[in-house]
Amino acid sequence: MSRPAPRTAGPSLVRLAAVVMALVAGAALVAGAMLGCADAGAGAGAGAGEAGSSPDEPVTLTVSAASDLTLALDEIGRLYHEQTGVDVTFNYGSSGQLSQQIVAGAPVDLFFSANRRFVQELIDAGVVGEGDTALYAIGRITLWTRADSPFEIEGLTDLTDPQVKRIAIANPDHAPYGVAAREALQSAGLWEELLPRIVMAENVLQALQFADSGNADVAIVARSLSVQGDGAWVLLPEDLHSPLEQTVAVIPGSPLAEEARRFAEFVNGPVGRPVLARYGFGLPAIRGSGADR
Amino acid sequence: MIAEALLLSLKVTAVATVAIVVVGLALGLVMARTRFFGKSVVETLIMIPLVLPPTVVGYYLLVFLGSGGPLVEWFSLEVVFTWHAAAFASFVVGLPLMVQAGKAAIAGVDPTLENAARTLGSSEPGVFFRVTLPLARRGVLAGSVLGGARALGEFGATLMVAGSIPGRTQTMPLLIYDAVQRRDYDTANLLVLVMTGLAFFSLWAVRRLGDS
Amino acid sequence: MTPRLRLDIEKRYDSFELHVELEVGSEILVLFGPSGAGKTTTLQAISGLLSPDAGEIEFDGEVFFRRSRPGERVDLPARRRGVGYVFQGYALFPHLTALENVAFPLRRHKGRGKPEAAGLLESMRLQHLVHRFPREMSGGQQQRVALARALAARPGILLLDEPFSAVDRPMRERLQRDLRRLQADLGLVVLCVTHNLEDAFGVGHRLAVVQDGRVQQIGRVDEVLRRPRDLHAAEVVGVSNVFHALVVEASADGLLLDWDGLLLEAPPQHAEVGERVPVYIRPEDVKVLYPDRRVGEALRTNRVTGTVVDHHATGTVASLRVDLANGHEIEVRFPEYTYAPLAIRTGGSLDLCLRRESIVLLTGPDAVVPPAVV
Repeated sequence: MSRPAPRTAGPSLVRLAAVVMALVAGAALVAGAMLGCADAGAGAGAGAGEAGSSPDEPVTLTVSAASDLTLALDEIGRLYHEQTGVDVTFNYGSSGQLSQQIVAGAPVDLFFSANRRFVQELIDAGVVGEGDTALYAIGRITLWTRADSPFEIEGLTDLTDPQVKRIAIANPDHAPYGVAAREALQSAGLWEELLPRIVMAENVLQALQFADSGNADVAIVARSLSVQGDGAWVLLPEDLHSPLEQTVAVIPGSPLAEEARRFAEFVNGPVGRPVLARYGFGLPAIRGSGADR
Repeated sequence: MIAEALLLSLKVTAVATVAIVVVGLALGLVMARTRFFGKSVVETLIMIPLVLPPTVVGYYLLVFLGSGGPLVEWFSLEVVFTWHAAAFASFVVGLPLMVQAGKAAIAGVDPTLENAARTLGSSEPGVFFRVTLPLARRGVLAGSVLGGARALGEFGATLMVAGSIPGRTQTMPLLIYDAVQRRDYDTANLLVLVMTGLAFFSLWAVRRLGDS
Repeated sequence: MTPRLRLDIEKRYDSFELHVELEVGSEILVLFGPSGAGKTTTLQAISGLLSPDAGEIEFDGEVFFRRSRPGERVDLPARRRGVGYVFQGYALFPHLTALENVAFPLRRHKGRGKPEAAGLLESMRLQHLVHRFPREMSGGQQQRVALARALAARPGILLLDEPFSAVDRPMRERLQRDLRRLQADLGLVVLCVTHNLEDAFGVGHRLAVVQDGRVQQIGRVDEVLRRPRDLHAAEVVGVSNVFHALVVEASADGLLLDWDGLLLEAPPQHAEVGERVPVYIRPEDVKVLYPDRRVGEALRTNRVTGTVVDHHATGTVASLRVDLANGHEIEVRFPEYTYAPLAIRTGGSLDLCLRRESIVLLTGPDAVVPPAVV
């Protein structure tokens, strides 16, 4: 049997040197391949792939949108594509999370928030200017149960039924519809009592999914989600919560800002508004060009 | 959506795995064959993503890759919410598996054989590529498969630094999460099957490489 | 002999200190000693796999290593030294065939490597092993392939670490002959580590006794073994029959020693009357006497009688342990059938003669015996 070679200075040093060089080379390779090709742009909104400098290149807009707009915006986006050939990709989530992403530099062109506050965050962070924003819809909340649910939920007080084990709402920390749900329960004086039974979802769409899958008995979700579903739902009075003034913001740092602005106006225009209405959104009064100037 | 997620997963995993193998091999060599002050600390740091919750890893990555971090401040590189960040997250979580396996495989090669190669005129890279690596081949391969599989399945940290933007950063695991949320169980089922199949195959391959 | 390899190296370990000085010419020098003595460390230092703490290693005028000596610091990496090394266990690459192993150092020859390697294997009568893997070869075959591989790189120095340990006797002798022939044909400087005396005899020109990190003695193989310079060397070489005696008389004619009651005559050696000295006689030089025969002049003195307490035969050699009247044991060794008619058996009584000329005083470090002309 051969004895292990003694590790001392000399060959070990050479070995170490060679290995360190390999490591540095490897790290450089990693950096180059993965990060180096990333756009070395400044500020948020490095744009969606194609920078669209040539009008012939297919343009794709990247739009972050609150989860309550799922399906509604998909439909409007399809209409827009038919009309202009521009592809719109939607990144749904809770408004607070999306706003955070944008502040952290997410390369999106447009942001449909479910309230004004998370757009204000962007203004405060200097990412968006006041003139880049506009009101596009008024949201409402509903109580939603599965069609085959044993519960007859007509109003908030019905939630106190001890048989109702779990109530799903969106997380009030970063979802406007969660905030509205909490405010409504607080107005009805039920928040403290029901808190142990409340389950918080990432966003309002997930809250619906919790109830739909049977893991929660009832959910407080956006009307726009209830109308498209197959469950039983009841609208909650809007005086129970502060208004959900859904605000859109164009990200001026994006290379597709102009196109984004056009889409925002499309949503807030004669084609988009009827679709929104169909999904149960309240609409703001029409002002001149739709965006605050 | 599925096709996009599939392609994205492929792209992200491929890039991450290449980096995992190259860097993991180099680190495995260092860990197996050298001694230096603070070595155990370095080793622990490399291994730590294995036991940290994905959100902690994601947080560190966000600090490192996001605004205010060195990448943005020193190199003006914006990678958050791009596939590059997803690849980097996958790289970080898959690396420990490769280093562990690589280190064991290299340490299992008799150093006398490497010494023999040196006396026969071989340079250090020559010793590594002509003697060490061929003899450590099985373990290195197993580590690559494991690291790659882990990279493919990365979710939590990716979500934090890359988000789940369809077509840009929404890899298969992220699409599954999204599909369930949207109650699109058809999509979810398909992807779950695909990922389970891939995971099964990977572990089976690792076992085959480990036996004998 | 013109020394071609000169080394003077020091290395400090936790448990011991190594300080080896050697001059080696075109010959086979055997490094002999117990394990842990520093033999393998010396080989590793020469080949460049280990860096001493201080010293100098020079071969054919080229400095391999220098540190803490006058002149600039040098530490040539192993791949630049041209030192062939046959490791203990051979260290053949298990993932390569014999041919690929031997061709390994010939990589740079771009295509001519394999044919050259094949030629080398052929010249060593190993062509039938060309496509075999090491695990498919016997110990002796592996050793020869390892030798071929080391030689393929055309080294000036060849180092071997326990080359014969895993090989059976008949193969051993063949290998030793091959090695001597190779050294002569190629004019190599060869250092061979072994702890087996027979191997040392079989292959070495000179022998260096290494113990406790130092070269205790160096000289022609037979000389060193016949005349260990001191207790240390004797211990290493594995001699028995080392005992202490009082010098009773000392003159130009010889010495008279008192070994605990037994009086022995010895040839003239440097000693003071009244001194207590270590004495040694090789077991082969303790002769058994036939009780009824006349003895020659040389065996007239130093006759003792004892009882055989152990009788041991190892194929060709028999060795006895005999209890003497002075309470000590002595070892006797001879070719197996030499004293057959005596029917020596344990428990029996035996007449012995400690051959006067062979009684050696081990009186401490002298000047190193200069290497004999080879």
